Amino acid sequence: MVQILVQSDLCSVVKEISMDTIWVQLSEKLYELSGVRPEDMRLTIWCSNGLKHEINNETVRRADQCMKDVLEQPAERITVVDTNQNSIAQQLTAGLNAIDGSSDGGASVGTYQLPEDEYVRRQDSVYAWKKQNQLGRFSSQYSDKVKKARDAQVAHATTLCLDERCSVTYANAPERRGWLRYVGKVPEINDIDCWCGVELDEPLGRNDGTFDGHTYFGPVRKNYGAFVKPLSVRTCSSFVPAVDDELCASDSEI
Amino acid sequence: MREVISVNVGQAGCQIGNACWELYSLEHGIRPDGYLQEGLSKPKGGEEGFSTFFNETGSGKFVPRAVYVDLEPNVIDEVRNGPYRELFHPEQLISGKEDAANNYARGHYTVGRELLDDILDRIRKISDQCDGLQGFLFTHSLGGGTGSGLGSLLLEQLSIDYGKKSKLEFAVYPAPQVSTSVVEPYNTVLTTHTTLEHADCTFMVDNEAIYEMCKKNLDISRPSLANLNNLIAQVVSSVTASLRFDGSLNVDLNEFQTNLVPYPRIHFPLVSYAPIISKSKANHESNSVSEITNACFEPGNQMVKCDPRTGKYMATCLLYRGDVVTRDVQNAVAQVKNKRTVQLVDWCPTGFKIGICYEPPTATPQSQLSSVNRAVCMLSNTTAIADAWKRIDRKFDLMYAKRAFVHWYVGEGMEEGEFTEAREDLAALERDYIEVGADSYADEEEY
Repeated sequence: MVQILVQSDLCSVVKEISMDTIWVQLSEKLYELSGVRPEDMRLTIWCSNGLKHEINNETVRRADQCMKDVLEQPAERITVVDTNQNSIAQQLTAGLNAIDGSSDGGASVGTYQLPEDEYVRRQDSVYAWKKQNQLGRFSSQYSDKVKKARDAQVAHATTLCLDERCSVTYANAPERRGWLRYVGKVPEINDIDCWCGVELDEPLGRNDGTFDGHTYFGPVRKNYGAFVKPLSVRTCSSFVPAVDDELCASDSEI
Repeated sequence: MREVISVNVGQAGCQIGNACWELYSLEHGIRPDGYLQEGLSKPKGGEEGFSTFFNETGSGKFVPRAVYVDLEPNVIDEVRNGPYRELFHPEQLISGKEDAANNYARGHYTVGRELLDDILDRIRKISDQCDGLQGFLFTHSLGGGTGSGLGSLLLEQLSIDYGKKSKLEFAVYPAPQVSTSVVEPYNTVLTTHTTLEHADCTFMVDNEAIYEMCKKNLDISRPSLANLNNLIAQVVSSVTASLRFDGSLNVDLNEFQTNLVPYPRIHFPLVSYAPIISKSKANHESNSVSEITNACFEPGNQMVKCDPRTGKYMATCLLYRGDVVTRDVQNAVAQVKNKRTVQLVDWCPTGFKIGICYEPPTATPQSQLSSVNRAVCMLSNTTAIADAWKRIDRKFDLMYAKRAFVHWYVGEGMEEGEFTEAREDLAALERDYIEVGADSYADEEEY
């Protein structure tokens, strides 16, 4: 038994294979791993002495010879090449590359979607659990709490002045300053919440004023834009750009 | 006594099993032949903890409460002929003659089923040696034929034979970029569907994530399978340390479920581990409690590739090992809770549990991982792990749309309907995770 690394477009795996394996058996094994049909297979084999062997399809399909009849040293690595351009393995390779390359994680390549009514009918789902136990939106208490919190955000939003200097503060985080550029819904985030679009003085945000292709303000420079909840924002002309104290100190020393 | 039986299935399961038992033996002071190391009068870890994983025979030999199962003989032959051959009773090592050919159906219905009675007999014998069996700890891969097919068959059978005994899994999840075989997505979806109602808690490990850790953190230019398995074993050891040594959290197998799984289907906690540093770097880093705790939130320390910043947490356990004081832990946890990237589900209670086990981790001689005096393993039930299912489901769809290689399964007597049923179940699981993340409301949210 020798450990051989088997590689193809669709697999990369170390397998224990005996050098006494007959070629046709090897090709069946490689078919299971790579999806390349034996009749379409061309192999390149690297042996422990560093030599490389090209194995044509004629040899691959031989039933009267084993690996060591052709290879004088134990194999270390086998690459499987599919010579059939229209094979199923080639089609899958192309499809998988499309998934990896697409920004939507391949949602466009015909992903199975569970119909919502079927999901709702399932007895063992998280949805059923929440509904039965009145959790989340199924709890009137929780819904009231969330509604109050949202109302408070909206109420605060009405006190803010658009295009005024502003301060963004969270508990346990440093203050950020900038200009309040947008107040309102951002349907790309969700349909319910009210958001403040802030043009920050420093690149401490997550976007440029656009969200999922829709421009809400700016566009400003990358990471100078952020969408935050109204209650973390206060507007006042006194929120001048923060001065870096340390920088000033070192400047004066010079 | 609260014994745990380890069940290692398939090539990956058995190889990880090897790495784990080597580590357990070292940690408890057991020699490869099953006897105590010189100078010890009893195994390390206290009678109670130690006996959960080892059985002491009349002659003073310690035998792992474990079975190894594989459909082909090669991997288990290595155990039979390897340095730990005397540790195991020959009957604990079960192998067949014909492999599963990377085919779930062969592992589950045809070749695997032939071995089922044998395996169940051996497990029964081991369970007869237990005073109070807690449950089972599985290691297997989701992508291989034996690990997926026979692994899920065994989980089903253990549910029937042992009722509500806990069943935890360490499952090797297919790496995002490299596959071990072309049909990995099928095997993964099929086995996940079958085991969803039988496993209580499943810790996934993706080989690619481990591979990158070995490269980046351990400076191994071309990590071998042995390197990967050593690192996985270290993680498994950390998760099971509280069962094997005196600890304060997850002392019982079922506590993992209680602490981490709010709803049975949502039982796939993300595992992170720190520090992962090489021997050459170890002396240059302090690895304070706060450093290693923060490291758990870095993607480079996660066992599965996903982005927890985009998810919501339902429960978290931080399991510390070694030289750790409670006050440092409390400070570190307070810091973590203030992280803006840690968003909790807020419509149901979320747990943040801490466990401390004062026994430091052990590094095996051939491991590149440095010996450290403290380490932490974080288990967090986050909705971000749904990314893993999304990835594999897309690949499944692409293949199944062309019915690619489905004939290999049908040829083993499987019905095509099982493919669609499994896929629907996984779609529901993805949808379940969305439902977990839904409804939460945070005053401080930012996009």
